[in-house]
Amino acid sequence: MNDQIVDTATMPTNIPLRILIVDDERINCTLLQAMLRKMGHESISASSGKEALVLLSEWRPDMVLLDVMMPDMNGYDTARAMRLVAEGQVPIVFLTGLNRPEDIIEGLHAGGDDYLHKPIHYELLQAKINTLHERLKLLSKLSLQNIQLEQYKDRIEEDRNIAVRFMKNLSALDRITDSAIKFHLSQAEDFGGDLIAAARSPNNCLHVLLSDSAGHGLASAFTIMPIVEPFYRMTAKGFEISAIAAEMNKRVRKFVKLPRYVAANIISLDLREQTLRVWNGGCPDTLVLDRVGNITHRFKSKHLPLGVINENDFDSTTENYIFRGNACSVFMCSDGVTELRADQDQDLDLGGMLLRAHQEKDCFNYIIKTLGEELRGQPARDDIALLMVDCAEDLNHQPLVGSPFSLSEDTLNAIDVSEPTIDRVTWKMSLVLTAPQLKTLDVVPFLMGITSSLEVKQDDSTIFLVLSELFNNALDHGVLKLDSTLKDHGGMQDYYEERDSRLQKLDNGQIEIELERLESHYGSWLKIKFRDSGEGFDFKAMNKSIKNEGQRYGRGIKLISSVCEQVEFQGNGSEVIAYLDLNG
Amino acid sequence: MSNLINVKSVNGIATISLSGKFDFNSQKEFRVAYTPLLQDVTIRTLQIDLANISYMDSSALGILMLLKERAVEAGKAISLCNPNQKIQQILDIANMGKLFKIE
Repeated sequence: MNDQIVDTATMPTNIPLRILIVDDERINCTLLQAMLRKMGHESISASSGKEALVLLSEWRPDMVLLDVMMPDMNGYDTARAMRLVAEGQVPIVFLTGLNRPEDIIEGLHAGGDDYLHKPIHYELLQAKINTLHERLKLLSKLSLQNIQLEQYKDRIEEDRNIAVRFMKNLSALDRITDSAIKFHLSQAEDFGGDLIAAARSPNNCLHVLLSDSAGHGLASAFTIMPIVEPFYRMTAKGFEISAIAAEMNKRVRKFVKLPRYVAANIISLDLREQTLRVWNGGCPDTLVLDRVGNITHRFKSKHLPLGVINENDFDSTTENYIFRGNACSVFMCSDGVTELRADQDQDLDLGGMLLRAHQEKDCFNYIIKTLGEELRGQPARDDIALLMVDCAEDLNHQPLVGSPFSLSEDTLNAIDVSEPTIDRVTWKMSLVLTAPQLKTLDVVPFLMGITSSLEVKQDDSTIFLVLSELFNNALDHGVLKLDSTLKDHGGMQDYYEERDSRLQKLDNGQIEIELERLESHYGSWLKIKFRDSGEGFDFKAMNKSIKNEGQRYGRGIKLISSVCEQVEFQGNGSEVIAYLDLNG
Repeated sequence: MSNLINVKSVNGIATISLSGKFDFNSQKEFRVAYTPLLQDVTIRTLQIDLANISYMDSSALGILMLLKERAVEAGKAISLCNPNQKIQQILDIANMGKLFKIE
């Protein structure tokens, strides 16, 4: 294929042509051959139509001069037969003594390109050959371009297929197996700019991402790459969505240049704390719905989309909402949904539709069906992405393992650091964090990074849970001196606001962290120690009040006790040590 | 051509008026209109008049964000003006008010 292209492309403009002469009278052939030789062309002659057909295939002429009046097979029949074979697309010039219009017309119908009257006029023959030659060159150029276009099309097609597969794998909707989520994604073109991703963090927070790249097609789909990877990776490591949003912004900024950007809506649903956190940059409102489909809260887009501003100016603040059991679901969608009626006077009544949907047996299906009807059979102008997250999902299937048990005498002896067993490698690390780090560092993922790189083998989610509970305890109640009863009196919202404001103003205060691996022939343990600069607390009183169910505070400690072999507060209560069994 | 772009400069303020559909196809024409303005030292302020825009998509927002970046580099002030209610909604969702003065 390629060789052929090179041949045609480099064809010189004034090369001698190969011309086939077909005439049953030898003298005519001889005369024509002489003329053509003079013009610098090469020729061969055939004395019949049949012979001409053979030479057409074998000699492959650039042009045919064809006598009309021949015995057996006349010129018209010969021309028709020539047009049927692959080589038969060469220009054909009829040579004839006939001069009537109907003869000329028949000749053209038979596939002839031109007509020459006998006796042959030298200059006229030369002019006709030159004209046809020009046309021939144009045609071959065109066919060359057609071949190139065809190849180009094939290559683009192949690239598209690879890209479609790549993007599908990357966005991997089948990765979303969480039973709490129902979603729908339909793309206006092969590549969508819309994306849905969901994953659970080690402490069982559900993170959901719905994003919409500006523009359509392949280029907008490529923006999926810099956002999907940090979403899954950082969620798995326990980062909060504000940190994930900041990382995504940094990456979109780096890999995708304006005018392309990504509108994104990220939520974090913590069923244990009954808290919904949202970072919405450029997407339609995230809606919190009650049991019957009333909108009880809206998270408006509060930020610029991803990739618009530099990391230093990026605002990663999330909005928090405590739903206290009165929320039933969260609804998110791309602007392909809210702008379904962009070209009509009346906007889509999303609220009304959600209410109606909640009266149906299959609420989500009803929504998709209704949106489909909105399109009235027209292809969607934009990608459509929507999802609903069930907040009433049963908490009992949490992947937390471990049950409370008391330490036996043997085990207690084994946790004697002063008598490490020989031949066992242990490690210890201690760290002091002061106000500047406490304000900016996402401490728990940082610690997780250390424990996992030191190959501590234990269910990651358990270590994460213990580290995050103990750290938050040290920061909130120790360093920031927040009273946990505020959660009940003022509500979680007030609590978080107070926490953020105190953290912003923090000048003094520190948290000491010690992580230590202990080994003996009984097994291995991770010893986790936190000591904060706070005033401590009456942990003995807490031990009694923990038994009081339904209280929001103290729940964290209860949870840690359920997964650790031992949790003990020391001193005035500002120091806590937990032992985690690493033997699984 | 999907857009009609008009440029008017008075007292160091250049007003680019757009009409019709403002989307990805407008990118080149829009760039051709603003590039000489960014290089013109006598112009201190760019004003994008959105009054006659019938439709605007996310690509158009990206085009404006890019212009904002270039205007800042060129040391020029920039503002958007006269968005109708529908266009204002689109600007609001993307929080364009954080990047532009909208009049």
